[in-house]
Amino acid sequence: MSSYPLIFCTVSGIIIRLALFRTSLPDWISLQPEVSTPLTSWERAMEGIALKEYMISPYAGDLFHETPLVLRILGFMTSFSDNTILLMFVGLDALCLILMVKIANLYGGYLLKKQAKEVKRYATDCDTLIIKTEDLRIIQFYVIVAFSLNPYSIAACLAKSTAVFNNLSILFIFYFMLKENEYLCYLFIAMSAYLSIYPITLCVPAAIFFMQSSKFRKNKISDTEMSYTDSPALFSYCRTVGLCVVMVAALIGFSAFLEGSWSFISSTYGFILMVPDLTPNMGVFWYFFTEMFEHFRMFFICVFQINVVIYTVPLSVKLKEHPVFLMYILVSLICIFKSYPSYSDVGLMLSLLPLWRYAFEYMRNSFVVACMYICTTVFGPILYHLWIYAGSANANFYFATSLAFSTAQIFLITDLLYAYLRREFDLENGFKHLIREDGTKKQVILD
Amino acid sequence: MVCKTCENPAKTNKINRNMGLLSDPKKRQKILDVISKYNNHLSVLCYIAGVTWFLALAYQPLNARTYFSENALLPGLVENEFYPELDMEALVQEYNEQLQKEKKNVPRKWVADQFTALGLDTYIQNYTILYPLQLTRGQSVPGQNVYGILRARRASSTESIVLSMPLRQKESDMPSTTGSMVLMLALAKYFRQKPYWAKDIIFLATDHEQFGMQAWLNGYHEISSEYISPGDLMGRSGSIQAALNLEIPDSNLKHLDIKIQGLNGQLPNLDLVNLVVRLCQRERVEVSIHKQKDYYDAESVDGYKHSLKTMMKMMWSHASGIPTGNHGLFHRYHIEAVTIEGITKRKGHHISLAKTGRVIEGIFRSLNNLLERFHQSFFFYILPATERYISIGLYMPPFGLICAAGLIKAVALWIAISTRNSDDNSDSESKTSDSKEEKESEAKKEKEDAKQTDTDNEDEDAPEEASREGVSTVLPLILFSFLMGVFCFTGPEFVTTMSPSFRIGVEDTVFFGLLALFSACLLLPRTVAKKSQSTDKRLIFDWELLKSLGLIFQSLVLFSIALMNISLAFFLAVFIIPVTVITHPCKNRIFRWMQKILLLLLCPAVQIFIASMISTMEGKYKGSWDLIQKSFENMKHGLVLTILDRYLFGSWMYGVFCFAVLPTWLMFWTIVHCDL
Repeated sequence: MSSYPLIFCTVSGIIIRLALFRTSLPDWISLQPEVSTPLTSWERAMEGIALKEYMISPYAGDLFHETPLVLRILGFMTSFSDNTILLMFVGLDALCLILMVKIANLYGGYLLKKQAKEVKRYATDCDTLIIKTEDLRIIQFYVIVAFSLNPYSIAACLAKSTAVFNNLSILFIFYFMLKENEYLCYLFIAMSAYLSIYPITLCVPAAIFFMQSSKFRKNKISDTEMSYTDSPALFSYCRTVGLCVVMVAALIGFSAFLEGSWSFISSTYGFILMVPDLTPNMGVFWYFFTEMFEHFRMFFICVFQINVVIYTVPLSVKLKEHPVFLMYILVSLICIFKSYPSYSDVGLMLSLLPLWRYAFEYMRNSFVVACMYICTTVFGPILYHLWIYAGSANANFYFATSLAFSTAQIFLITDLLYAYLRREFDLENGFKHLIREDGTKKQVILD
Repeated sequence: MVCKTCENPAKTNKINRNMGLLSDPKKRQKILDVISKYNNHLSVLCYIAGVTWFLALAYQPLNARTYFSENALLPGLVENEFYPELDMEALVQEYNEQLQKEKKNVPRKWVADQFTALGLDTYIQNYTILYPLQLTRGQSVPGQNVYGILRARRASSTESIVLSMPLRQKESDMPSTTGSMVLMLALAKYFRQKPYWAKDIIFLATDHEQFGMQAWLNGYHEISSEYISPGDLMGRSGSIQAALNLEIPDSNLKHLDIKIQGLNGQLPNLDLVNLVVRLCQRERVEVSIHKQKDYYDAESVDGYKHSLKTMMKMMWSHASGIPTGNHGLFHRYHIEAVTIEGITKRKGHHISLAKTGRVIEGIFRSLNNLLERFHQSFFFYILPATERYISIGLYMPPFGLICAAGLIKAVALWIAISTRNSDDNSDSESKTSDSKEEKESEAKKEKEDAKQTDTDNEDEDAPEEASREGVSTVLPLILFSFLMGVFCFTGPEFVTTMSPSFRIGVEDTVFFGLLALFSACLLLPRTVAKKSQSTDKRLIFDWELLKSLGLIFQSLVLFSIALMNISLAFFLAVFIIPVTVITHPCKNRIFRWMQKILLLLLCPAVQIFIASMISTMEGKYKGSWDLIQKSFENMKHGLVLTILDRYLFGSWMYGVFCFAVLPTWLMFWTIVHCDL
């Protein structure tokens, strides 16, 4: 595969973003609840900056929910002209793209290494499943296409969603993890957690990954022989988690030093955790909590927030041998279940999806999921219009689409998980056992 | 989660029962088999069942009787007491004289004086309209609206109701609105004496038909647009809860007609429609929708035909997405509004203006009772009679069935494509296993990769033999289709900036400009065809994939339209779906040409022409040639008006045709041209 398509896609992605900034589309998109949530809305950010200029604490009111560091970055960005700000957002997207390409390359190398390590335990007849280098180059191409022409990412960029910082830092986690740069990886986990709390769960896959790599460096043992529960392993986990927590604490402490007060905690983290703003979005929180009796609110908030992170436990037990995949699944689950999800997260999730292209042929619901994605994406704005502007539809219509959208995402993730495990299963057992004596195929089921 | 092979079928079934459709491979396979085997039958069945069911909904036992959801309205609870003190006949005379005086203008001054004399807070709004498309050569047209506010005695001015009418000059081709003016004045005088008003009443007389109304609404809500500058509104009241628009000619009224369709297919809340119907009945005034009165025996065959005709007329005007009266512009601001039109008759029994006044009085007293905005009843409905309605829950299933015809075909094609692909894969698998390559070490693989890349490059250089299949063969076609849509969307503005130098009328410029673009669309399959080794141009692509995608896109478009304007979606679906489902490239020339002709009959240009022809048929014409000529003129006129609506009112009709209907049609048009 030559490099022309890569360049073409990259350039066309950038041109599309720049060209669409010239139309009236950004004004409309930035009003869409799917794109700009209270956490990531550009207008709210401007409000915060304006308040800060008047020497009023931006956290005193109920509008601004960015962290102090982002406030400073945004303050720096807004010191330029409007056009430069647009260019900066496109530039940030380009940076994301570069990181993604690097991640795709690094991940390819990682895969090949892992495959070479494990090839002994593979079945003999599974040649077709073995990954080759040119497959990896195609992955790179698909990642570029999936990001630069991704309508969700484009929409987020046009709306000047500040979620781009969160996305960047998550991409940096992947990048430094695959580069085996331990401390920078922890730093960015801490950064992501500092920005939006939930990514703190990503220290679990990172812990597993660095434990594996340190053991491998020392002993040259393969995954199957590796123990995940002996004392060096446990020590390594504790070290990772400890470092991440210390870094988060340091970042928060630094912010408090910059702000001169701790008031930002309640209007950033408190805002994410307690979900006081029930503006409709693509998530599952708002509808549920508008219907909730105040009495039960606390309990169900706990339930919903635990729901976001609880999957970390079973998944890390099951996927302990595949920490990178585990990390992707966790990022996706956070994107689905977080309290203020937006298209920006969806864009990130879908752009990284081609990394697992080699497992795609095992996916069974891709047609249904694709149709669901398209339909809900189109119906969302229409029903929002009918509800809010025309007044003819109501909240239930819109919630139905946002629920269907979440369902599509869950289907996609479970399907990917299934496909990944199914491929691993075939790698270990080969194809022969799948054929009965009479020549018909056996069914493989997920139990 | 553990993957394992299951050998015991009984056990599989047990687990499957808990797993549902999406993850149960066996049931899924069964469904897929059924779809791929019987898709043609299923499509036909779905289509016919859907259309029949939809049309059957007009039959009285299958739809529901309207009822009041909003209890606060209390319709007809009070005795209507409007017996005008003014001499209505004299007022009619006076107004007509005023109209005579200035034939080309409307007597705004006189209206304002009358309002002031009655003691209303009277204001005049000066607005200017800059017509897009160089219609007025960049000059703006001024206009004036007159409105008077009757302040409510029992509440502060936080809410209001509007009684509006269009002012029409003597020479206008529209029916006169003298009756509206007289009624408005008489009612204003009467309302002022009453102590029970809890909402302000705004009496509004607008100029320039819908433009004036839009300007007033923009001004009232302080919205500025590029083309309408509403100026400052000196007086305001609270948020408008509802509006009633009167188009009543003079005193020779036969019956009243309710007009409901608003911009972009929005309908007023059914409660408001019910309210008007109920009060008309109470005053023994005959009431109709689209000039169709209720049939006395609705359950008979004739009764069914009559309701079907009413329903079709309602849906036809609904489908256009153009407001049928000034009320249609209110809907966009979340204000429920209807127009009451008086149908005149020279002879026979007449309804007096006073009686009509009592109907309006009743409506306003009910509206006065409202505690909150209309929200209870339906917003999505079809009316087969004044007192029957078909709600969204009733019409969506048959509509879904009609669309399912296309979707089933799409799924069947998708299955065909995926089985084809997996067959290819298994072929290649067997090949590789034959060659017995052992790939164990990484180094070996690396070398091979190098080789592979070489062969890859060679593949790219080699003539595209495999270019029959795959997404890459289809993507350019889809992109071109949408690009054409973009051209059509931006085209009119572009050509009209050029037209003044050619001395052609705007209507002609727009029409011929679009016709040229459309011809380019027709030639699209020719232009994108590739030259292969043989000298003739051949268009080769994965038509099954394109058709599958096209059908899915089409269903998506139809459903999206159905959410906003079911009538438009229904008419599009009924005509488009059968043709698009059968479209496929074939070697037989006759079939190919038949398909081409069928598709041409359904292309957006012909669709618009047929639509204008049907609308012309309702009017007067002499002979078929005259009909064609007239509908041609109407089409040109309608096209410009639709584009104008887009700029001035924010109508979506033109955008929908450019970005949804045209690209879909183009995809199928290219499919017919695919060479096998």
